Amino acid sequence: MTRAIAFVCVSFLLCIAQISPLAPCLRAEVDRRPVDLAGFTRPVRVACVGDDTTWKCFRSPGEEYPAKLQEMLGNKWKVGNLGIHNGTVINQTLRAYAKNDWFPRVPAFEPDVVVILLGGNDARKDNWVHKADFVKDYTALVEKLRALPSKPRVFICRTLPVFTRDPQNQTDVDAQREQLPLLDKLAVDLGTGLIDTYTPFLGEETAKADAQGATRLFIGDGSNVTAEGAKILATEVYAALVGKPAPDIASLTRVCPLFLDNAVLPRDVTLPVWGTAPPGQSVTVEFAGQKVAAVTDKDGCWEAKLDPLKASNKPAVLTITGNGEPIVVPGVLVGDVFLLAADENTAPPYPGRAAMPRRLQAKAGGTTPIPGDISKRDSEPVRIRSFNVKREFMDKPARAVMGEWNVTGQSEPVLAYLFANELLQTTGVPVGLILTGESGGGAGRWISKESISKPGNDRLGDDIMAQVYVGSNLYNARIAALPPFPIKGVIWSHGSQSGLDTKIYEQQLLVLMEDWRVKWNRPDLPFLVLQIPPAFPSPTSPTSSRMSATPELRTAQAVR
Amino acid sequence: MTRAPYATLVLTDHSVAQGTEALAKRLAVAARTVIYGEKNVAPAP
Repeated sequence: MTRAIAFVCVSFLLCIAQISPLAPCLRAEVDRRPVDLAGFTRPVRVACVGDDTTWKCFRSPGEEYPAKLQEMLGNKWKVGNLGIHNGTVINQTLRAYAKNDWFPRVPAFEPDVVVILLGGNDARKDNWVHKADFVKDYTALVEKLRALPSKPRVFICRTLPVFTRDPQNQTDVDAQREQLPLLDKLAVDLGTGLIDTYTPFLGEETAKADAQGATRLFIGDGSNVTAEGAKILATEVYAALVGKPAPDIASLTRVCPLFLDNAVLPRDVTLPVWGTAPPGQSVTVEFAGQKVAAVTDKDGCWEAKLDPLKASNKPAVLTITGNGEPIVVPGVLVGDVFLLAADENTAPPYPGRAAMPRRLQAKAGGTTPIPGDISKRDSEPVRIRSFNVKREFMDKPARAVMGEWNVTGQSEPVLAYLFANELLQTTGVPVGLILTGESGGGAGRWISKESISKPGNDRLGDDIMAQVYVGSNLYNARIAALPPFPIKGVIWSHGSQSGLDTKIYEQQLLVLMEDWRVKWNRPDLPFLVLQIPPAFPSPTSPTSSRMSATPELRTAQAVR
Repeated sequence: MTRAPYATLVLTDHSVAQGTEALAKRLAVAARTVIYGEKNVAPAP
């Protein structure tokens, strides 16, 4: 009798394990299910948790694997790059992911899926002395992620092969040999997905290298992958998430992120809409009753032009159709778009930073009501939106815009939001803010190399504080790919590190304005220059950059 | 606010330096005047 009851109970549990949504937790096997889009009414949010291999693609900014994955997946998915420098699993190491200050970015991202690519730094000789903790801490990390309010599914990536051509590489080959089976077993025991990002990289150890020691897939010191390596990572992750082989990105029809979800499109001007597709491919763009077409050129670029649009507070759908499934872009408004540069007043936030209203309230002692649009009823659309240009630095001009639209209250710097709110109160039309700023850095970094190279401008690329050439690296990454997107004007707020040589700063501003006007083909492109506040001694920060705001510099900002 | 051939300088002073909201108002007034071409815009504090 007892045996019969036991048999029934075991059978029941096995049955539950097969059909329950909790099945991956109960059965000891890898979760091989692709993500089912049918269950989502918004883009599926994929958090890429990892170390430098996730965070950066050092020789090719913008080519890191989460960015490539986003291109492959399209706008029904939202991929977040949540990699951290030197990230590890083992909690006794210096940069353990679960204990890192950046970890709150993960819950803030509200992931539906988390892809973990960690372990490479744990295999360093100095970290692997704590190897006894690896499985325990990895398990705790997975459970911590699964316990997030968004209850994400977790995929574990196998670590990449050790690339030890550089004698400085501290990774222990033997440690990684020990680590791989541990990762495979973790995926089984925890019922997570398992992505083989190891096998495709085998053989690089003996592959042909360039003068810097880089192969096709690894950079010279072995600490990271090349753009080609990042693409392979994205390919493997795509296959696991979608359950199909990844497409060739060049075969897809894609649109510039300025025209993606929650965009504010400029009103009252002919609007170029552009993107990429296979050469010769016809592409149509439909919006607000218009349907316009373009043919992709030999370089894989297309551009269609919409006739001037009327301002609209009503979210509408923009549809781009090329080969494959149409790109359906929801939540698009029409209004006025401003470009904001160059300091922290105009900078996009780092992911996971507290929402602007909370910061504003905190600044006001937590009692002052937040002015403006965001306090209205939830049923109305948010009409102040920011396009957060990716905080990147590049030696060469970016070929594509890197960034995404966000709705207000999530991210804008306070000054930018309040400026937009003031305008909204009087114009009544949506306001888009293209945020490009950065902490510190001279104006020369915002000027194109062509302009700096002109006779007489040779000193303009110097960082005046550092006395070294750093010209154009912010222009390249954050401005170069934006034209010809129509902007109402530029807000230039720049209070730091530029004030030591007034004459050079004035010339920099003059050249910068001419430079950007040429790029936008608008000789009258308006600039509003926010005067650096007057110098005053700060009791808390006597070396504050505001100390450099001499009357001469403040006057020079008028660029007469 | 002063106007030059190349751009519009949104002036600041000690009071503005310590008030983000006041600064934003000045920027908005400059935008309405110079970019939108509105007449008789009330000056910001």
